[in-house]
Amino acid sequence: MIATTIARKEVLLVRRDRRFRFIFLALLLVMLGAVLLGAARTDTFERERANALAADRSVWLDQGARNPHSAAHFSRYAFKPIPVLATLDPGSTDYAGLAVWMEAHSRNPATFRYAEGGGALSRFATLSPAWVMQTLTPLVIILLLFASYAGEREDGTLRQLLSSGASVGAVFWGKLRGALTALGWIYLPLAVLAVVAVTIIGGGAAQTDLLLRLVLMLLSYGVYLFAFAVTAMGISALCSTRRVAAIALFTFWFFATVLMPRLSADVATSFAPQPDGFEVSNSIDRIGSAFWNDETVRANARQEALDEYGVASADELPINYAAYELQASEVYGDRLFDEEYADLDAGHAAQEAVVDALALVSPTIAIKRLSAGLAGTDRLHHLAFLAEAETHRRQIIKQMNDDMMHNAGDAGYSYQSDPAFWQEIADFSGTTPLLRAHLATYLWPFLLLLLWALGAYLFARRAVARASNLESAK
Amino acid sequence: MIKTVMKLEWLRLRRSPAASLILLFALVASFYAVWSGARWADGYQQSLEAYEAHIDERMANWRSQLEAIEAGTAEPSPYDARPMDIRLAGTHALGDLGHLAIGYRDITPARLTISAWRNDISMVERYEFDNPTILSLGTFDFAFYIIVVMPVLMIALSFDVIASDRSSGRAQLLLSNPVSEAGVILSRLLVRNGFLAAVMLLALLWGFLEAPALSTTGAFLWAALCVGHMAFWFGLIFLVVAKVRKSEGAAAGLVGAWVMIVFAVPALVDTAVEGLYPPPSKLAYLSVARLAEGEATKRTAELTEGFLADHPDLSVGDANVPGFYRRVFLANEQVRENTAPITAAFRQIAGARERTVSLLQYLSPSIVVQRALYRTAESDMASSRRFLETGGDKLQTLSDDVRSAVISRNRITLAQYDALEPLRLDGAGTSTASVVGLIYLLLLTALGVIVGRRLVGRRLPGED
Repeated sequence: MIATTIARKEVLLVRRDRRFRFIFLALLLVMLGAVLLGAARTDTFERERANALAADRSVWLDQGARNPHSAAHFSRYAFKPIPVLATLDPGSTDYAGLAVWMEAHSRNPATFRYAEGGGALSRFATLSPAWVMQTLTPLVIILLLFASYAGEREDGTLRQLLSSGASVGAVFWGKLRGALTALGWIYLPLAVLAVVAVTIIGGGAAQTDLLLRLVLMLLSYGVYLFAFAVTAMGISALCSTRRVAAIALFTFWFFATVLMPRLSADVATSFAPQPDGFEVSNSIDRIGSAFWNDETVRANARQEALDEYGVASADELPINYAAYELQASEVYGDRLFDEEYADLDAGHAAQEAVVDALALVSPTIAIKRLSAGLAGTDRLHHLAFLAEAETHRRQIIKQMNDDMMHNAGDAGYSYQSDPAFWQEIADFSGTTPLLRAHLATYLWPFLLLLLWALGAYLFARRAVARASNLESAK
Repeated sequence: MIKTVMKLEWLRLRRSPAASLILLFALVASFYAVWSGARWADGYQQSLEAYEAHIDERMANWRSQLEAIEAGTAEPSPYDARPMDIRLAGTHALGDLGHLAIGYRDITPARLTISAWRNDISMVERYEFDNPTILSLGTFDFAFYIIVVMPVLMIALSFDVIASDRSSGRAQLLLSNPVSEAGVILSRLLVRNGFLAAVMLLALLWGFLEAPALSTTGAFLWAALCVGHMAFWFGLIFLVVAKVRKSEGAAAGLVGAWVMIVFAVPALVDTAVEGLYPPPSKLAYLSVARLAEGEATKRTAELTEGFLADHPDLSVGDANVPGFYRRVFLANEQVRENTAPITAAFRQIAGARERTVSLLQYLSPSIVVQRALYRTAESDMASSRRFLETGGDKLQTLSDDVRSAVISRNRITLAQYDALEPLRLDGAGTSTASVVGLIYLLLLTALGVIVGRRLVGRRLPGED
């Protein structure tokens, strides 16, 4: 009963506070702007992808009679589908590249990173719904709750309340319910805006498990904001004045949402440095020509061809041997490319392990990682695109080598494929991976968030009990 | 009296654990930022040097082939010393102060291969191997410390510079002495922030010492911008603490201003500029380039005949030179010609964006400082664009130099080759925009102090 009364009083205080109305409205407007901007960006990405794919297909089909190996060097592009949830959280989309050139002899990285052509001020803050939820909303919660206990302690009303017979638990529950109601007022409109953004106006590539992703995303943000709300209550209870509570909470917010995410990236590169672009590029070139520079490997390939066709010399082969070698060089290179990129991925994973570890001191790091993963815009989803593109590259290059191998005869590199052959080379359609493929990876940041929320709740209870004891003893 | 106030403040500062913690954090964070930037810059420069050495080695081999052919000491194969195989390294060297402001350098290309095999797209060496997660989180460089962290530390040290005295009544006692309230606030702010300034300047000095070569103008401008930015926040803090009576109100107001100035306004300006001037699609650019390449490949014979007909003086060289040399060269020429309108559109949009941001930057001093620091350190977007444009021009020059030889299947002479030079784009120094930005910051500071003094002066002695 007392808890309900306290909760009602807390809600009433917030409702009467004109500052809250102003902040609430401002936050909604910023979120609305971010949602509209996110939807427009995602839509633009997808439109550009569709146009580029159509143009690539047209150029490919229209190349006329041409040697298939020459065509394999011209080859085709794989364009990355941008998922609809990128509207809410672009994650690392802007820094990951939008297209892969699927040429012969080379496994290329994704190029055309949007950040390189983006705004000139984008390195400090980019307006997105995720940024609003991760950075601005916790600040608003802090502004609302910093005085929840500290104000009562400073004014002496907490002592009054406790002396009137209210138990410490009842006061805590009342305050908590009041805080959660205020949090709900902030969170629900933002969540509705987010849902509307992806279900009605969002323009990205379809995600078959969109609903699951969206629900988990909203749940995660709910846990994140709850953690901030109870932390704010706990810190407020520890402070005897509004002044100290305000500065302590702003400091916590600054460390958690601004400083630590950036510092985590920096610390991660201290432990596992970013790869040297020149060295990796050089390795890719070396791998591309590894087969041709190794006489033993070439001799083995020749012997395999002779054994396969049961002949004694290359001249007797019923196929074009140059094309056979081209395919053998691809197969030889594939293994080396896999090793090279596995090393690269291992380095990236090591960096992210450091970032994840630092989520222990900042829930914002955990929500950033989790949110981008659930949106399908993190590095793991990008890797899935790269893997799909690489599988496609191997398939289409083999098709072209096979064409030359079986149809070129002695003409070799002078042989030209029939223009109709180009239609047999499939477009890269690209799929958005299912969440369940990576679910285990996202368990850690989600558990961390839960841990943060639980820890914050226990901390708040303890802080409130301590504050109540101190006030009662006065 | 002011001296006494300052001495007392110094004592209070020394005895305050919170203030000591903030100053310690400032010391660690600022020096870490310099160290981190220097570490990154070392890796960046070493990578460029390795690349230049790699190209040099390759071209030394190429040159020796040509030398032997000219001297008649070797029987050349059709593949030896072809002008198509000339490679010039194009590198975007870091500015002298690039380690203090990494800016956009970690996401923009720094290595080009200027070669007739390449076009404006393919001349950029593969570079997108960095972890996108890490890139999206950003770097903790000294510019970040100055623009984002330092104002927070100033706020944390200064938000209650007078409010607690006002609420406890000590202010009245203090003002019974021959001293004004504005004087007390200003002197206290000077003491509190003076240490932050000293720490910042020490870290900056170390940053200057870490620079491989340093121009006095650049260093002076950087130091002046850092101090100017601090001065702006000093003025704003003075204004807010003079106006707002309660310390939590002052803290909330200052944090709100910080969020607006550092994050919200730059994000909104960036969004507005992007909306007003959307960049041409890079994928559309790629499509046009591929279309041109495809068309040129189909018309190789026709284009070759046309060129040779226009240059009857050319004698056709070695017929054994593979046809794809000529085909790729012509395709790249066609790509350059066909993508010229899009390239021009990119430049036009970039120019319009630059002009708009130049106007809108005054909405937030953070934008002014960020642009000026990045520009002075040569790590802004404009620097990268300039590098790519210069690379494109260099590629055009090389193509002009080798065109006749490639199409007629001849070689160029050793003397012609020796006249070619690699591209190493270094910093272009400072800009007048940085000086204007500095003046703007100082004007804002003066405004903050003047208005703050008036606000304090308007209050009646017994009001507190």
